[in-house]
Amino acid sequence: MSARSVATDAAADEEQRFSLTLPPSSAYVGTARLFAGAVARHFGADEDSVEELKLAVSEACTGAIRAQGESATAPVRMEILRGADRLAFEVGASGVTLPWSAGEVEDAAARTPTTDYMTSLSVQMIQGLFGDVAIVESPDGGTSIRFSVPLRHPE
Amino acid sequence: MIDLLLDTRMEGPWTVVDVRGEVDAYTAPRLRERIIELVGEGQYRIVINLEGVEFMDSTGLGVLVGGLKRVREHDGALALVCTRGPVLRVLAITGLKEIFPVHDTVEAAVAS
Repeated sequence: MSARSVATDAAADEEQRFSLTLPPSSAYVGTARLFAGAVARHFGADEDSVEELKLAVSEACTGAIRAQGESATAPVRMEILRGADRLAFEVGASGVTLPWSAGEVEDAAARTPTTDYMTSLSVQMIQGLFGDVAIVESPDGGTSIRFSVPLRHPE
Repeated sequence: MIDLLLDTRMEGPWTVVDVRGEVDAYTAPRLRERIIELVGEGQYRIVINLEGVEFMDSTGLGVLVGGLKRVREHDGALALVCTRGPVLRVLAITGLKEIFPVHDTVEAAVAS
């Protein structure tokens, strides 16, 4: 699938949606990073944003898999929405509650004491990356994580 | 597994682990196992060379922290070599840059 084949100048003002669904295995998180990076670069995100994005996607996908425990069966879904000047991401798995609560992600002071050191590290990572990270309830149950990166305006 | 390459070598009393590729939930367990092996062999002074690392997330950081704890149980040391922006950023975001000695080169790390 090529993101390049989808975008056209005529569609520059329209919203465009990309999605990727992966089996819930850490083996494929790298693929999600590649996909997110390719879409972001195509729409003009700068390299720093692309690196941040890959981190956020990696943390999000890994969280969606880890939250399912030993027998993960719900595929991880990443939706990318290209808006006028931002590229918005949402990552989740159907019916799966991500390991971070809305409070933990949005406010370091609200972080609940956790015995899981890895969850603590990943939430620190996510907090440090984007200002507009949000945990939202999904219509199909569970939660998903949203974040976005700015896009340069075309010349 | 071509996503992560590990090479181990000795520099004086230090064991240097050269890491190349991407360190995430899929590949980090191999780095973890290598560190566990080294500690099991009595190697308590370890340099993790991250110069070849193109990507690392919190799973990778967790392995490094675990490694630090293991060597410290034997009064050892674990140092990092890293000059790449993205990986340094990951260390900075989580505050772990303050916990690990971070050097620009392996030579500097083994001289410390």
